[in-house]
Amino acid sequence: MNFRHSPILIFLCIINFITAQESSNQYIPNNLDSLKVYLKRINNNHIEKINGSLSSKIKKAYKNRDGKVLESIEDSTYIFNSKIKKDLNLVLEHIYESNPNINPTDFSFFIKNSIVPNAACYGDGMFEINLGLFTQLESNDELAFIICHEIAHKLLEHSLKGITKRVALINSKETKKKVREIKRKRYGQTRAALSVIDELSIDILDYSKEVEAEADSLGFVMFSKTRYSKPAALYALEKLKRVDEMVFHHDIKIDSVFDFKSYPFKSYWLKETTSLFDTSEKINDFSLVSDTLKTHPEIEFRVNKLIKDYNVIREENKLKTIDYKYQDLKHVSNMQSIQFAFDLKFLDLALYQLIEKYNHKKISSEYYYSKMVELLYLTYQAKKAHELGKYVPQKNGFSDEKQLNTIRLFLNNLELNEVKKIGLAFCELIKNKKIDTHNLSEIIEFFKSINN
Amino acid sequence: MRKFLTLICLSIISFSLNAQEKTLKEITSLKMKNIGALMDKNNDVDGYYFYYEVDKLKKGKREYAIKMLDNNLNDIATKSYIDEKNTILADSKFNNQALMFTMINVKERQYKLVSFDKKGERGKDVLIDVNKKEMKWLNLMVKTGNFNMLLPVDNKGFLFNYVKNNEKLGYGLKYIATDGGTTWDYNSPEDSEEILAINPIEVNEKVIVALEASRKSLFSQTIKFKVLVIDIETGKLLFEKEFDRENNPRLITNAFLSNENEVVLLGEYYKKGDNIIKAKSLGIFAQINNLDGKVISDNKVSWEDKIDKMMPTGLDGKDSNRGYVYFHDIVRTQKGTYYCIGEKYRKTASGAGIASLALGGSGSATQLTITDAMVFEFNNNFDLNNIEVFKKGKSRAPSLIDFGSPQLNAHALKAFGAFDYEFTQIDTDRDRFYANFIDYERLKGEKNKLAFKTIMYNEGKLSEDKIYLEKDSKKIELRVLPAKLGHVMLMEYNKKEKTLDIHLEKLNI
Repeated sequence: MNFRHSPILIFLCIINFITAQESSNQYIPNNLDSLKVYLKRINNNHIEKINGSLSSKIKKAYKNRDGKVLESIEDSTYIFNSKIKKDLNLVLEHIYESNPNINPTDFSFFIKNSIVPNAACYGDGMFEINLGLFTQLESNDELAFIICHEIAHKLLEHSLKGITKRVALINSKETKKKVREIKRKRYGQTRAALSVIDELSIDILDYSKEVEAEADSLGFVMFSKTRYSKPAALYALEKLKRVDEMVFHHDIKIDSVFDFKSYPFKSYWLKETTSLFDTSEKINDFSLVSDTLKTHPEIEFRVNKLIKDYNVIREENKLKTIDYKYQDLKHVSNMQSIQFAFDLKFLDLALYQLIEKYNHKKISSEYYYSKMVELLYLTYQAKKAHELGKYVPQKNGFSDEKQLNTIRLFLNNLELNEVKKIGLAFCELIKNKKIDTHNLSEIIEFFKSINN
Repeated sequence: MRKFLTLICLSIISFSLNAQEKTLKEITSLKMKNIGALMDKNNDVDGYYFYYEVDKLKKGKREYAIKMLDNNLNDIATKSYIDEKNTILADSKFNNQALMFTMINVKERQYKLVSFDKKGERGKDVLIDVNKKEMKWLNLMVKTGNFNMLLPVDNKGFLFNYVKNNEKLGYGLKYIATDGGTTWDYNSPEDSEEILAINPIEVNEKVIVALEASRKSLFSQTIKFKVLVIDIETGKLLFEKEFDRENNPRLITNAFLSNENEVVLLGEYYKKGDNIIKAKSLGIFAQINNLDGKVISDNKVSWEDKIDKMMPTGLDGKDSNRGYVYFHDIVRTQKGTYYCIGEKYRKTASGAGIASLALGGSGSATQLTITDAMVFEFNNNFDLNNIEVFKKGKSRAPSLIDFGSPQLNAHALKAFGAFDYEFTQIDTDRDRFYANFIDYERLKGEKNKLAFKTIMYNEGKLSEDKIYLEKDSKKIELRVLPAKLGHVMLMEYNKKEKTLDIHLEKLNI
């Protein structure tokens, strides 16, 4: 057997293993127990290779992390969707084929239920990609670059080096001495401890910034061996920059969405309460410098570095070309991104996505109207049980996410009898728009009955 | 609740990996000293504070932290505060211009009024030296639950009410302006031969309405009440009105200032010569006064002639006797109608108390049996329109004095929290009110359940909402705390996982 193909075969075996997990509940795979065994195995394989003076502490950190991942799976953090997985695997397969030096034996990619466009490498071979990444990107080319970036993290052992650095920092003679001194202090122990934590955190964050640029470089080297368009690396990063500033930036115009002839929008649904302080930032006499630092370097710096180091040239004319293969994946991800918000009762995220995706024609009007009625029904039930606040937080004046804040204000300000009336008004709207209400008959009957 | 809250520690760091990190985490894990809601005079919650000790400093000093959440539960500020060991954060209020905290320095015997403006900058502290006796009495007054230590004056300042050890116990009322106005004191006469206490109950941008109580000695069972109306700008007394036992005994339950700057006093009236803390009242009254103290109207509604005739029959058809009604609050709506919120009670024999006495033990042979919540509706002329009864389970509280009247016991037991009533929030913008009770529901064929019940007034109608405080899962402890208007704060403590989930929920109208 050709060495070049053996990792691919192993990879394909893993794909079969992971995709076989899909079940009626897309959040908990049928073969959860064997998946746990698999994750434990790759974690152990990774741990076994760790040696050196601090190895026991580093191993402990990885074991803790493994435990948390397993808990997350049980908490419906991930989605096991065959369509997304299949499309993702095609991209992975091509990356591995183009880069035979990659050994994906212990690699496994999980799809996380999160609207935030992000991906992560856990170090032991586990990777996660947020649904939000699929929905924000525009092509397999862009997705391939992000994947190459994450694989680069693994090949460069950034996770292991990061944990090693952290463990070494914390166990250094200097830190131990500082901790001893703090313990001996009669006065001001907490402030002194906070100062040490701050110093340690700054060092750790500095390292985190360095490695992102490194992963971009190696990631681009791997990416450039694929058939994918090179400038896509820049476009992918730039899309992340846009969302880095604000994920929920679409003007949802809630006052027009919920303005009905039979029940007009009420301005007090968006009424805010007086705040204790007039400040745009949190006031904190105990704030740490490290709290203000970012984990990633500025995207602009990363884009310029790629252009400079690899002479990447933009192909503006190709920007308008639609990657139809990717659009399928994007469509499923869009639908799944809405669905997980419904399933986990994150009604604010569900509402934002419904309006945004409908306005951008990412979902059909039939889907939009039927899901909106379902959302109103769930809002009614959650309010009735005094549980809405568990799933939809109140508005946060310090958040940059103005649109999400507006939705939160709206949902939380609504009274039960107002949801009841909005629900009925929406059902009437659907009737007028001649939407197929076959699957909604129970909810429509419900709103009719409570309005009688 | 307090016991439950002391279990919760705040941690500044969240990671724990090895000895060093564990040590750092332990050092920076802070035990909370207390938690409170920042409520205005309508019991609307502007935010919450968490007070905890951060560090031990030299010369017996301590660094404390006051963490503040807004009324949406967002963490908005953490301020450092340095004071003596065992400094207590006793009260806190917000007046739309500033936040004020009452700190009690036990060691230095000092009250310190600490303020922060809307930028979070600390203002000049106001210091009041006190002695041990004054501190002890202030503590007792606060415990009665009918004492406003700190009262916000919206967009103007704060009133601080404290006990002064004069020849006999007296009071001090300090006004601290936050709008650049004058700061003043209104104190009881130092040579007064009576024990005097004051409670500011209503305030607007012009005047303060306060109730002054006086009695000859601590053991005297006769209390005289006076209503004082004080100019907010100068601290000068505009007028006082005494409801003396001999001529016109009245119990003032509530007061408010109308848009026309009229002082509306609400409460119960008594027969001439009756002692209001012992006797059964003749009825309920609403008296309107102008700012010169002139009575504009004085409307009374008698129990016997009016209320008893309108008292609804119980669900079983038997319970038509009103027994006694303890009024907790009287609210006037924007339409001018009045709603008196109370609880029905009776003095009954206590089987357990009698058995204990028969066996030579201590206890009370009688008890107060508290039942339904009642809301009396009066029109703007104070004519009784309607009485609505809201079913509630029985609560029993042993009488403090077997030979005392039910009224005397009710007043005394109110201070011990024997009634199920919690508080009433008033939403003047939307002309609503929310009266809250805790009820132990006895359910047929089901396990009894503790419920938080709210009687709401909206658009001329009363309705009820309830939240059961017991979950099916025994590992969850549920508590309800006051929140912004029309909401409650639910605290769900998972005993097994030691996690706390706090969320706001709107009451369902």
